[in-house]
Amino acid sequence: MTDMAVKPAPAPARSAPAPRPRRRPGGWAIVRAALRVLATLAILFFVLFPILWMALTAFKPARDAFSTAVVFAPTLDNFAAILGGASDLTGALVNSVLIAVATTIVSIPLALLAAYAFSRYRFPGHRGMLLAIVATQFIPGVAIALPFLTLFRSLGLIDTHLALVVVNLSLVVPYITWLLKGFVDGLPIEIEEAARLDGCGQVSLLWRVITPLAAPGIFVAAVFSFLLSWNEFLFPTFLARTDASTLPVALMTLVLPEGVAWGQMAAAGLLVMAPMLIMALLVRKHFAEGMTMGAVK
Amino acid sequence: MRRTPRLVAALGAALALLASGCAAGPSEQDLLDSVATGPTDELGLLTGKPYDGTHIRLLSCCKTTAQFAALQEKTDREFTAKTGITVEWANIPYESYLQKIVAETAVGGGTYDLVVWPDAYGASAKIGLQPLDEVMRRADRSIDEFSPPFQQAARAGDPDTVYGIPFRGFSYNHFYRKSEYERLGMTPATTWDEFTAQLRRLDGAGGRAAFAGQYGRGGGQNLYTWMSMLWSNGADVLGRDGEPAFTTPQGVAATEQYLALLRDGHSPQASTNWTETDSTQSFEQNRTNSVFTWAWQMDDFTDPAKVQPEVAGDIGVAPLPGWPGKPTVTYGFTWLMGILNTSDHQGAAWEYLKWVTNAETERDVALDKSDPDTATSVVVHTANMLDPEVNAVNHGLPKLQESALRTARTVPMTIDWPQIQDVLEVAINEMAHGADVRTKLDEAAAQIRTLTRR
Amino acid sequence: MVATTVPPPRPRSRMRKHAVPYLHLAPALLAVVLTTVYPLVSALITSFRHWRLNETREAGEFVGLEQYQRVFTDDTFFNSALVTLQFTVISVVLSVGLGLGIALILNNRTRLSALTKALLILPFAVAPALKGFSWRFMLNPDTGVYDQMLDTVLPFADDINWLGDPFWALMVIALTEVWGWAPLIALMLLGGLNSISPEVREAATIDGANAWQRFWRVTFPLLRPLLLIVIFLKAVFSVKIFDQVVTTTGGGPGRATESLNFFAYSQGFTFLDIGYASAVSWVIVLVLGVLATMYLIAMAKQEAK
Repeated sequence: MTDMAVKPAPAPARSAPAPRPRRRPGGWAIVRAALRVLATLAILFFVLFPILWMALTAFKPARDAFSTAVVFAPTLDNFAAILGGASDLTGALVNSVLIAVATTIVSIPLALLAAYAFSRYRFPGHRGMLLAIVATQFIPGVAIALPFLTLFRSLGLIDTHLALVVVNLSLVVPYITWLLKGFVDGLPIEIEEAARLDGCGQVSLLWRVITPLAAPGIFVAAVFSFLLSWNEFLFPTFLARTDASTLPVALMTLVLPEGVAWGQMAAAGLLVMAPMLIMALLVRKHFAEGMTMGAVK
Repeated sequence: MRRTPRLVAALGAALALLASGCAAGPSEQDLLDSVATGPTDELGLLTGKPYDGTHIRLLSCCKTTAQFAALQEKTDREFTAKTGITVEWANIPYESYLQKIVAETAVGGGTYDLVVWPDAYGASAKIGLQPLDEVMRRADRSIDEFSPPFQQAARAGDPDTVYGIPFRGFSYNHFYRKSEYERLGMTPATTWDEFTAQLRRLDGAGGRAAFAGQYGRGGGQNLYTWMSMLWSNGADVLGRDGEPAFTTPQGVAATEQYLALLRDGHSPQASTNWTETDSTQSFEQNRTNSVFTWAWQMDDFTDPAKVQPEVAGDIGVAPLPGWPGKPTVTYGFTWLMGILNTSDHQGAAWEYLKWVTNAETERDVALDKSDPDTATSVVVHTANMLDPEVNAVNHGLPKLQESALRTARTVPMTIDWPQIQDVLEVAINEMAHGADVRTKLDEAAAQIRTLTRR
Repeated sequence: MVATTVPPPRPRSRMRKHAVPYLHLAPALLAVVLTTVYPLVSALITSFRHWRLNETREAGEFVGLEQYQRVFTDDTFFNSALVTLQFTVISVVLSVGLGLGIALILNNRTRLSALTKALLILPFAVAPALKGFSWRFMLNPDTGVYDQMLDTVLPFADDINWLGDPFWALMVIALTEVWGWAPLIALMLLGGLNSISPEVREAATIDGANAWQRFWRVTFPLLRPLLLIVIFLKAVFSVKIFDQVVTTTGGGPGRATESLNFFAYSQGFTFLDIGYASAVSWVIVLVLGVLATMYLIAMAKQEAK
């Protein structure tokens, strides 16, 4: 790929320092600073506007849903409609929470154990398995969902929470195994060695030493796991009908025969979005790292 | 490396375990075994509450549709009180509904007892449905209670078997702004040439476009008008041999005429991508002078709470135009209800199916105008369509429907229909975007031939 | 990779030495194998069998490569491959380009930039299905707020029916992706920019290089490895595009937005042709497999350094 040595990073001539940093007060500097501020505001607008607009629409009365008015008498009608009202989505909300929580609870211990093994041991197949785990992320969802459709039919598991938790593992476990491996790599090994010298067995080492040390990492992994399950659309589309239908899919119930109920859609959207936005802000620092999955390491 | 084989063996064992569980799916029941016999009441329901306490689930969509809402409300009040059976209507998103019902019938899940489906999916759905002929005969019910297209849909392509009972259906009609027609001294056209001539006069009349067409892709909705025109001109979607039959001169002419409504500017440019809802909304919002749609829309068009006030009191309805000397054949849309193979409560399900498709139940609902949310003009029993009382409170629409349905048809009943519909609706949409009619029809015919020859 | 290997507590035989890591791995591997390898193998077998769910409940006869032949003679498959390719190129170029732009603009220490950086993560956390719905709402040609803004700024945009036009419909789906990804890519790149030592940049400044030259001669070469990873990641996610196709256009107008994943989904779920859908998914798996291999090789090279 890239051989950095070939790319001529400019070799600075250190020997002749300029008398002083160039300073050109006024003129250009001000224009450039202003442009930078404007550009930053444009970025803020680009990033936030769709979110704010949806939040705004969620509080609009039905007759204003289609207007671009910013001033209106706010109402909670849309929320009333989706929470127990005519287009009740509380069932889907509960399903979303249950499935995301269950997926997280199941996948964290699995991934932590695997991450620990990858991080602390060398064994035959180490590299191969590590790469194979990344490779699973390239499998298109349909290829996974289709066989499960027929398998779950045979097992009578169509439209159950269990079915969705099982398929969600295919998304979550590989991903957070990598994430946690990164965290465990960063833990000082001396503590473990000391614990072993103290006669700490493998199980209590993992439980008493590694788990608390990796707690921040586990938290990040848990958030990711929750987010991936929460936002998942393809699997519930295939494998759920009503009893296990999750929020992103249930948004479709608001596409009524007489048109899309945009006000309610916005309210439901806020419901789908808000927890994820908060979580994303909580793990903001690790988000980008997680995406590049150790590739930069 | 030496550990690996043992690991593989363990995984293999786990897989084998999983595979062995495959035999334990929801089992299929036989309706005749689970239907109880005994004395019945005036609605044909078994007396003595043999299924008291049973809970059954109906896979359905669109629970806010007035007729569905009315039936659900009446179910609790009347059916459950009489039989002790509780009924839950599942509300599946309309957009993904078609896929879900086919999945429920074909894939099966065992969660539902009854299912509601639109005609086009009958052939695919019947693999998961119980034949109803014998139980209908025993209950003294007959599919002859319904119009020809409803009967065709109920048989789902099987000449001797009924898989579902129609419980919602309608003719395809021409709705227009009465005052505008009166002002221009016109009566609804009976031929397409006349219709086109009228559209020219309606262009811009009252500040509205002449016609709200629907040429967009979505649920096969852009085929409704097209098929009606095709059939009326003597062409067909599929011939008797199952081969595409829409590339005949009559087929091409009908298609050209259909697209001319858009290409000549009578239907707004945006209708290139409109589906049913978009075109009816345009009519409701006072932006177009006429529209083709299902008869039930009358309930909405005349409801001042749902449309612009000037629209509500100004609606005319007529049969679709046709070709001179040829019978006008339109599409009659049917929703059917049937019993799933995988249901564990087929006896109770049949009780409900009898009640919900009973002419008396239907008549009560159509006469009840006390609540706008449950008021509906939809009736499917021929007897109710001709009932003067029912007509009196429903704009005379049922009678108009009955006459249109006498010559109407349903879509081809083949398991390939979902694919064929997809090919055709894309072709129509692409023609609306400017593709050549002849070429596109030939292309679509070739695609359909390939996929039906599998 | 990581050079910290704990010596096992007691010396054991070679055979038993590796038992511990394998035991640790077993649960996760089992989960991964069951949820990815099993379906892949199952789909591979099904892809050689005739099986339409609306015809027979169980899988039918083996038909050899017939269904693969059908994939490669199916115009609608090639259409979806082309759509996916176009979509991938558009969304990668826009996401990475815009992401890089955002990163460069925000690469300073003002308070406004810090705030913006903190918020950059938000769009990515929004469910893709919801992104589709919200953009569909905002670009409604009659009532959408974005549509009205655009019509004011660009008069010609007034005539554009965003989701009704084959080109723009694909662009809109790409935009929903760009909205989520460009800020995220910016965040990743900002991480990279931070690691460029100020001395190097300063030196270039002193060298008399202008901003443009500094970017191409200093910043860009240093960001290059990271950019490659980002482009690759975005490409993989773009090839898998599905959610927004369903919630924004449903594949239309015509077949202008039918992606590969959507095509496979229609064959399997709408048309219930499980055999054909399995063959289609395997073709997609192979296409992505080539991409994945390229990625793994690249990673291995980088690691080797």
